[in-house]
Amino acid sequence: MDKSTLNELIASSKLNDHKAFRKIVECYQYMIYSLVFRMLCNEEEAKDTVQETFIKVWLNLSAYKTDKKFSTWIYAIASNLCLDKLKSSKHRYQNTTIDEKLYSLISNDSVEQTIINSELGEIILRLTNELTPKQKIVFTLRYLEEIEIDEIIQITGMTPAKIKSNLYLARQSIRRKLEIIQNQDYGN
Amino acid sequence: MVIKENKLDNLIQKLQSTNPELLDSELLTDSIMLKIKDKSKNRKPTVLMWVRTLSTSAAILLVGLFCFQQNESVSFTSYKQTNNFNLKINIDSICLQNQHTSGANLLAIYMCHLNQNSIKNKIYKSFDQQLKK
Repeated sequence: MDKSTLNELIASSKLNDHKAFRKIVECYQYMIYSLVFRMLCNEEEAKDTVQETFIKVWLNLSAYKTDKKFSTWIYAIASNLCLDKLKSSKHRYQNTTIDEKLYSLISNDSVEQTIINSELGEIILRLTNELTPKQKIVFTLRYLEEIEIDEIIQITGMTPAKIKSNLYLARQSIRRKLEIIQNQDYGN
Repeated sequence: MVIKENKLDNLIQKLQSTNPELLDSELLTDSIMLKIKDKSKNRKPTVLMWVRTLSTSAAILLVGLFCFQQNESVSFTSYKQTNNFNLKINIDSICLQNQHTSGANLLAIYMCHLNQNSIKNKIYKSFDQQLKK
């Protein structure tokens, strides 16, 4: 979507135009889902968070200034929600049970993609479950979503030094995790 | 066994290229829009919010103005009352002069009057004693 069309849609949405906002949702929901899923590693929780993100976007649209990149602004809202969820005591890294997986397979037409999503979630979860929420958001944004450091600064509000140290610590932690997994395999 | 940097980069690249797929995107969009419609119903119009803010600040301003005016009228009335009081108790011209020059209040004027009276009494007493002698 080009910038002028997006600005028109945002202006219309500010005037309570639901159709215009629907187009924005359709355009950005994949991007937000990708980030949120990689952060929370759970399909249902990711969908709920995507919903919450767009509701927040709708409610705070009047605060958005067009000189800022819209995707950065939405990313900031989504990542803050993810951070809150990861920090909250209610959030637990739960492995989905076989029953849940089976239900997911039955209810979705694309069985292959469901399996891919499930496995991807499990792998990311296994690798990153020891990272702090801040390390995880920085790692996900930089390495998995391939976002530039300058944009990450705007999204997270962290300093470049803080981002770099979080990335370094995240890589170290993942490397240690891989070494443990590899040693276990060789041990067996 | 030590994991080399390139192995870690390889793994990250693989995770990067495998995107989680949003399967029922249409359903998700519909549910988002439904929730937004609910929120919109509950949300008060912007104009109404502005009117509310403006009327609240105007009310506060009016109350402030009223209080300020009350104080002004109190000082004005006290001045008037002092004048009446002066006439009734026949306060000395010194007290009246004090009132006009320093803007003294009712109590101060009354105290001045009492003071003047006591001075007068003393003078009368001494004069009386001198007469008796």
